[in-house]
Amino acid sequence: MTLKPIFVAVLTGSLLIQPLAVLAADPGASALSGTDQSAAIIQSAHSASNPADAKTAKQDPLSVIEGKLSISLSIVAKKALKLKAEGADISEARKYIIEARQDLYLVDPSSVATSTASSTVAESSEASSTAATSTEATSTSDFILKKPLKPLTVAETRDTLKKAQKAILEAIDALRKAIEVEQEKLIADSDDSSGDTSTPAATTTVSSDTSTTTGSGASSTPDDSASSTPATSSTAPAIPTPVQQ
Amino acid sequence: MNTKKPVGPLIISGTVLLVLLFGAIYFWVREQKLIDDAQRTSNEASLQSTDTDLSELQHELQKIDIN
Repeated sequence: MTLKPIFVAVLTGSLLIQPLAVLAADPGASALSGTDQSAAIIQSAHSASNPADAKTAKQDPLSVIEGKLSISLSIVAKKALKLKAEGADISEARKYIIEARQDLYLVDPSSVATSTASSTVAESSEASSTAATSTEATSTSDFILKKPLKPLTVAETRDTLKKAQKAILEAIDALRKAIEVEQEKLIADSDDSSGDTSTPAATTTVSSDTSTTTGSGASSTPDDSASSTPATSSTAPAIPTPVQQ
Repeated sequence: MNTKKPVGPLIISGTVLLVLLFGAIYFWVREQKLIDDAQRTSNEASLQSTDTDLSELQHELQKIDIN
């Protein structure tokens, strides 16, 4: 009789830790394996959010949700590391990852989120980033986790998990914005190297004045460029925008 | 007696060397461009894949109701 809860706890723990063991064993996993892991988490999250087959979630929903958030944070941190390796600026996402990591640590100090890729993200210096370095603290206080002074109540745990969930979602948003910036850079690079027919130096306003192209490689929004070049738009000829590949 | 050195072979060999040099440069530049294009395409695919994964994860995270 007394062995049954222990068996269930061990089984649940092993199921939660298993994906992280895979992550830890293969730090340089490819995008495909990342996709598979994401799919597994998504499947797990879906089954928990579905009341029809969420038997486990009914038993101890907060701890199960905490586990899911931990694994999601690990995946997000792993994606952040991958993007950073590709040259993207992840300083904004890093801030939210640290927040989520701290929240999950408060809920469960033995949380696996503290020993995965999120730790690497938190401990990574952002010396290469531009604006973030001056404003964002990169001291050791960033990645030293604050221990909970006392065990959290259920309401506090719920609130903390909500904060962690929000922080993870913000981190995902930040990463997706970083991806957009990188994609714009790639498009600008391909424009630069696509041929000599483009106008590399001058900002050229197309006839409708709503879209511009800059050949210097800098990514700029159409509104900014349009507002900053009021005089040249009337004089510049309508040169067609180079086709983006 | 001034004996003129034959300049014909020198011109021919110089021209051939120049053609070979420019040809090598041309093919090297073209190869670099192809490599850059392939790298760019690979990066774009990687970014797109990451974006898709994050989008799905974000969608599923939003479904988790902590109440």
